[in-house]
Amino acid sequence: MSHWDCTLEDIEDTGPALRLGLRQIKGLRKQDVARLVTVRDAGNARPFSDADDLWRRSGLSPATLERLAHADAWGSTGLGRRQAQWEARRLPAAPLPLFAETGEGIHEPDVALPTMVPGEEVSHDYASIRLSLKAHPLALLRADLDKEGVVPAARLGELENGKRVTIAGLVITRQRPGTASGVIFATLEDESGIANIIVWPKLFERYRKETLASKLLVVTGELQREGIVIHVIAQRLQDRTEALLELADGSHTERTSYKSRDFH
Amino acid sequence: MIATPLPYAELQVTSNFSFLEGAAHPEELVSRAAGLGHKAIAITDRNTLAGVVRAHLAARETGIQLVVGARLDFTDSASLLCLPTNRVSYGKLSQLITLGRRRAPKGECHLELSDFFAYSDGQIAIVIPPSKNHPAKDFPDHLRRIVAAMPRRSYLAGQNLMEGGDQHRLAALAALANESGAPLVATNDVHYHTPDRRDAQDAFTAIRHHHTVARAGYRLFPNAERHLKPADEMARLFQRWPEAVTRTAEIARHCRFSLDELVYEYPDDEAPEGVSPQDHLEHLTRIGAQERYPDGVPEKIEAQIDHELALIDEVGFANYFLTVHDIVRFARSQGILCQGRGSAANSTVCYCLGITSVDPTKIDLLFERFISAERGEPPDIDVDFEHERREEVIQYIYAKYGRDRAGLAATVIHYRARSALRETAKAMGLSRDVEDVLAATTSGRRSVAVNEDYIREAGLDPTEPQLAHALRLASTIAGFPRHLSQHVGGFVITRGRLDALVPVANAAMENRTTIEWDKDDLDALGILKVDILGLGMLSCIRKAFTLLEQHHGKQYDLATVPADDPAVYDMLCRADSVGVFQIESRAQMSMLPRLKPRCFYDLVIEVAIVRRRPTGCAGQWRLSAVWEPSIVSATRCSRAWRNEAMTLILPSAASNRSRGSAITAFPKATRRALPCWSMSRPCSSTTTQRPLPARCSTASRWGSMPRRKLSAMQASTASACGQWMSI
Repeated sequence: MSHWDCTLEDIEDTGPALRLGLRQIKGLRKQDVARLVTVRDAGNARPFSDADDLWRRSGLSPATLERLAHADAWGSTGLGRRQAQWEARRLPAAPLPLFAETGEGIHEPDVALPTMVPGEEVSHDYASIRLSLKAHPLALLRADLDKEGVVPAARLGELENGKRVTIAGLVITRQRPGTASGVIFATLEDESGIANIIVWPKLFERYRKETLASKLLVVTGELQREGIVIHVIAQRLQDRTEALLELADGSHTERTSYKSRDFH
Repeated sequence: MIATPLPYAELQVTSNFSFLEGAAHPEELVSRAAGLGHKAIAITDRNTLAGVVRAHLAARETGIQLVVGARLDFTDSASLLCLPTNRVSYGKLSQLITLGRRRAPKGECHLELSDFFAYSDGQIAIVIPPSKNHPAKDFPDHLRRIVAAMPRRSYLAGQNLMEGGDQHRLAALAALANESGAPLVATNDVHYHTPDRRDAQDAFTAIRHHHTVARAGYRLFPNAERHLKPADEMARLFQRWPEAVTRTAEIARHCRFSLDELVYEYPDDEAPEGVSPQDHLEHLTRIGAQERYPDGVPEKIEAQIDHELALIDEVGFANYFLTVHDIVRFARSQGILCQGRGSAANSTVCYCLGITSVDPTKIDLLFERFISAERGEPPDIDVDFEHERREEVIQYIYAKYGRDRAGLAATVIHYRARSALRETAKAMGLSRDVEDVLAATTSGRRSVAVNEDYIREAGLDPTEPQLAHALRLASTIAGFPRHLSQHVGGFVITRGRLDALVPVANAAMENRTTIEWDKDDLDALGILKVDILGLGMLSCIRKAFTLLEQHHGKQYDLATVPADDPAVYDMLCRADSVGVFQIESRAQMSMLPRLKPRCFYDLVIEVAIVRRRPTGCAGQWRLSAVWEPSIVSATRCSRAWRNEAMTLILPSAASNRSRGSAITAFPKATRRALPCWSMSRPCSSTTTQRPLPARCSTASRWGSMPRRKLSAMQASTASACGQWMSI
């Protein structure tokens, strides 16, 4: 079970595994989580059975419960992300004591919501907790990228020095050290690992927007290898953020879900 | 040659520290006044002293007298210029502003006239008449009230701003001055040093009123007259009242207070009654040393402690160390991880006091580098705390010293290219989408320049008049102060009253109070700040310690965590360091597999080689004076890097003490950045057996050097390992 902080859980055979903390969820407040955890971990507590139970026992606002649902954290009630969000939306603002036993009196027909496609799940994971344990977005795009001859980051080590390669990934950092006379270092991440990109100032002038604004960047350039240190010297940059946003299959994804650490 | 200048001093000056009002930096105003040959210039910003230190420095440079003051607004009376005549009345003004600001939300100041009277001893009051557009009927009553409370120290300001009807207005004011006993004083209600800043001032007025310049109408000043004018021009404007002009210089003569008179004293709360701070510090250090070395304090450490304590005594910093010690002691008592760093922190005394956790037996200290008797500068200890619990430490400091003795330093937030463009685009009435496009053309938080090419690239025409005007304005106001924010953690703690030194105001955050000066202002006046910083990595380490205890039953703290676990160095050699403090940057990550650190001190060297900053040309020039010629020749690069600089100083200086003064040649910022320790000898067998690869970046920058010299350089680069090893 998750707490506010990330925790370790002992798993037989493999040793401890990391359990994500609820602090990862965007917009969730610490005191709300504390309340939830106290109720959940109380001595004789049973697991939350459904939305109504969760709502009454935790005393959290429907908006907070929806944030939890959006992060796909309702697992113990047996509800998936979409169903949980639907249930959270149905909750009234404050519980009415008279209806505690019988429910709020309104019987809505059960709705069979379409299951989320993997792309949707991943996009929502990113929107809520900025990472996904289900799949890396690039893994979902890999089939298309393969057709374009894009190399996964993990394979860069097998290629020979000086070779021209194309690599794609989420931009996770951009750095422009004061001592590097305008060179931009970008780090791309795909499902296999990370790739280090160097953008020389001249190229940057030409691809300013792509360098600065892309969430998903496709870079063609020259592989430069020195021991295990590998760089790709960019020659051409393409902004493929749209492909990333379209993963959600029609439902809207915010660009801001994919956040990089830039020029810190 | 100019004819003998008439005695004139501008006493009503609004700088850009009256945010969104004044359109010139205090420095610009002061230099301009000096250039015009004025006797003095006052800086009278609205309810604030935020800009006076900058003005003071400019005045010192140009030789003009600065009259420190403020314009005070009251809820129940006309505004006035408050000019303190001495140190005591300056303190009162500062306390008065504190009073008004502590009552009000951030950015505001609520004062009544009666408050002013309570603090008016030694002040000169120049009452500001209502403006032409906002006549106030009861102004004569306000004036009489002020004169009654402060006879012979009250004046009435009059302006001839060529707004029509000026002579009538001045005549009426002169009559009122006669009748009330507050002599007329000529001012020009200065908002900028030269008339060409009028546009920027108009834009500010519009922004302040949430209007465009085109729609701001009478809210704008009607002309560009509110600039600094030559004395003879002022004399011409006040032809009928010449004494109103000469009176300005008389008033300035009375206002003798200078910021140079401010004396900062360390708080002295720690030493018990009857014990000198130095004795108390010695006592605590000895106790600490015994705890750190339970099997007996090594002789070398004993000697180092004696040496450091003697030096601390010589420069009188005992109270400072005691203050920091107390803060750290509190944090430890609450189980909050903390770690000192900065120049003075890497001393044996700090280790014994528990301020740092790095054992000095492993390193040679270069303590004098920062505390040197000749320099007499404040020492520098920054303390990092777990970021999630730093607030507890901050509130402890407030509670211990009180809001009138402790406050956070301010940070002046300046307009950057982006924020300047947004503001001026709004003021010029450009549409929101144009504003967004303009803002998107600027990148980086540091840049202040507006680049026309980018604007063309974004599909806008930079020559279109409205846009061109917005661009021009933006490049004027870029770099202007925008508001005061709180420093990340710099606390100023004083022995006496802090609010008599500088006004204290509420911050936007609950339970935080800040002073009105930023770190540069404090440095300029020699005021000490203790940096109480939040470090996420310490929170992370704290949680890791907890997990280790829960899951593995191992107990560690910062001093006992093993430093040489091979599994860790295996990871580091693979550059598997994402998210690891200090070595997660791209440069560090690409250096790790090349240098292959196998022990803690290898890592120190690795970090030191990559983390470097230019010392700037000034540093280089002054440094060359102390370097041996042979070494100087090695640095024929355009910039000296701090490691190189350090390396060069070590062999070039003969004794420890002159090492210290060689370093004084650096600008202060660089000195802070310089590494703090040198290693006694190659730390481990690993380093000795496997010297640094010849292709490390340090060596390649000395590409032209003879081989044998290079290896010497490398060796001393190794000895220049730095403060970054403090976890």
